[in-house]
Amino acid sequence: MKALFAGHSPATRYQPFEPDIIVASGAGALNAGVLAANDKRGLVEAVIALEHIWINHISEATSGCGNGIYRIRGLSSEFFNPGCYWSKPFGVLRDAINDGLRAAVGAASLAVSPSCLLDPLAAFRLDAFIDVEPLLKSVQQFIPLERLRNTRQRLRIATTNARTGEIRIFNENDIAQIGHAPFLASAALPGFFPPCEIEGDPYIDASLLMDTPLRPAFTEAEDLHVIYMDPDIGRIEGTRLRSSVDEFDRVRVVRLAYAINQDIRTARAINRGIKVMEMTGSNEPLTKHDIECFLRTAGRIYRRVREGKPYSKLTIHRYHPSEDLGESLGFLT
Amino acid sequence: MNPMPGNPNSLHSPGADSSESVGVVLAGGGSYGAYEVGVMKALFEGAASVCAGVPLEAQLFAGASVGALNAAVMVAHAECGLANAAATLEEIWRRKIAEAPGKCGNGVYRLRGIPPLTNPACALNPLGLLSDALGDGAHFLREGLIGGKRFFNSPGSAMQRILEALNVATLLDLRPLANLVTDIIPLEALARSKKALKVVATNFDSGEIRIFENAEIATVIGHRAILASAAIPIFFPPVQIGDELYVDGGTLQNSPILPAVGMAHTLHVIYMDPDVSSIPVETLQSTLAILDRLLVMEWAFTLNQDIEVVEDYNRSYDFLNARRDLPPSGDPRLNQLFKAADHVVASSGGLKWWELTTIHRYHPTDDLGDLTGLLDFGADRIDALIERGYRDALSHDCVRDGCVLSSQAEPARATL
Repeated sequence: MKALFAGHSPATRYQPFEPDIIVASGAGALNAGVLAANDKRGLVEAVIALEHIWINHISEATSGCGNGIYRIRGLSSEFFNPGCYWSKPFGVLRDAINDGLRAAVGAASLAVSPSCLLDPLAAFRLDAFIDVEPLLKSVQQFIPLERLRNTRQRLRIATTNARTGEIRIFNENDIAQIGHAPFLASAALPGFFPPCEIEGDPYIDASLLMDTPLRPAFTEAEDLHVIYMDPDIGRIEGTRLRSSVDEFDRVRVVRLAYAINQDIRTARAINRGIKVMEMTGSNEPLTKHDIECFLRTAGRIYRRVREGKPYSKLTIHRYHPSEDLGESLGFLT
Repeated sequence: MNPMPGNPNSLHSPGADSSESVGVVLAGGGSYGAYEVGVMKALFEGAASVCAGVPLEAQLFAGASVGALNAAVMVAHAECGLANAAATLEEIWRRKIAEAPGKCGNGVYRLRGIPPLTNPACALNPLGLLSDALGDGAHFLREGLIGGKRFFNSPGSAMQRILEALNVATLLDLRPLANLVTDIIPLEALARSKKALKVVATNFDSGEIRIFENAEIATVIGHRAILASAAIPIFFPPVQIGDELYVDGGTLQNSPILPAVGMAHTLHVIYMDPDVSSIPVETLQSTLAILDRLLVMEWAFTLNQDIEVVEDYNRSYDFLNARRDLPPSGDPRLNQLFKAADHVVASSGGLKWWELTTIHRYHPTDDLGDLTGLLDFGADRIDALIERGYRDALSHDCVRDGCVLSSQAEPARATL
């Protein structure tokens, strides 16, 4: 983003780039929120602020206490980290007491419900070991709601309603009313982080259904710059597939690549359908592919025109690493 | 594969008599696949509500994972009629796949390192038990050495090293599945069957869907295509075909509708998940329950996206057929669209071969069980799932189950 906003990218012909809208999910939601909250300073300044936040607050900086996203409950590493006593003098003790109390409550509930011992899988909660208070604090600190209420940046945060299984997109007005919950929901990696309740329903990360929320952006913008962190799947070493975690990671990447490619196919079909419309004045013969795409999209195009929201041709720029960025489960490191 | 109505392999390609082409799409879901047997039994006996007393005749079977196994059995045994094939499949599930009384284990996998001494049928074969125990010992030794080497060579943290050394798939012996597939799916019958088979697997190297068909399975790939389609990631190891690794087709397309669209006008899609909203959120009390819901949501999301593609084609069909009756518009873009439609119709020989796609969905209205149930092949449970599928097909209701119906019976403009 730094390269795009500063005009250092060939994709924008080396011109500073100002998006009309930012659509994000997962960790991308936090990035999008910070940019929107800082847009008054200009996007280059906003992205520099974001860089600062990642380096000094989100990452496990050597002088700090843990990371800015989560804390593993019950780990004593905080006791031996001088940074923790500096950044939260009473926090280490408070966390230890909280963790102890939670463990005691958990043990008591097992004692009154011994059936859980017979079926431990049905009682085990991995997210009980994760404290997401650092994430809450980061979001509150770096995405102040009063700034979001005044932002000119249009924002779309994708989440999943775990009750209905449907994607829900929150815009800047929703966030101004609801508060930070959509950011927390969008980052709530199922199984690892607890769901976030919004209007009585549990919400989780949209990434597992729609890691790169490309499709909701089709109707909002013509020129899309899509940023994601996985390489082409063929570039991930096959030799790494030796453990269950490796397989889990590869399944995640395979599903992501498939979803992006499906969305890109849809975008290409829409573009080709529009091209067929533009060809009506010419005598250019239609190819089989032209006809295929028109048959897929004609009804859609008709409906959108009738609704007064016609499609425009879409341009999609993809930015992603050419090689694997890290090991399995590295997204939690 | 492109879900193009003009698919060159189409059963209803231009000139063919296409009015009756019917396909069955079978989803993945481990032991829950027994549910599909019950639904198909009702469809091919003509007992299902959709049949109006006439047994369904299908020309295509597409499946992923356990759905691929069921589809292959149906195609291989279709010679004597689909009702008989469904009866054969039911017999296979009850006698060969389920942990039936008098049988040592199920027909899919064996848990390594845990001798089934309490099962009298296993105890009657002490040599088999001994052979399994020795084999398991050697297997664990080999896997332990590989995991240990990886643990010590990894540059990661202690937790990362432990996770990298763990491989759940080493706990399962899949020889029963390999033997079962060879036993119940005769390749020569697949080759001569008049029914089309599409087995969906995921290429783990390229991340793409691969579809295996009758001839390729019968003559080149063999039973490995079915084993690849059924290789549930993490639990079952990937299957090598040629130079590439394959896993469960359900990883990307658990209900493989798209490979069947363009091959049949009416699709009967059978899957084992209820609507996500009908699973109470109060059940989200454990990581297992969350992962279970996540899987249901992912499958439902993909299925709905694929159905959206079918609906796109149906909308276009309606638009092309109704375009001359649509209200006039001063919008130049609409006029351009109408002209483009005329151009496309004229360039495609009038599109007379193209018809609407109808999709019937068969699935339970409530949750059949959790993730652990995927590998539970208990005989009573399999019986109950078959019965449940049969009953659900009898009471199939298109409004409740969200079918995609041909809009020919409705005013064409309604779906635009």
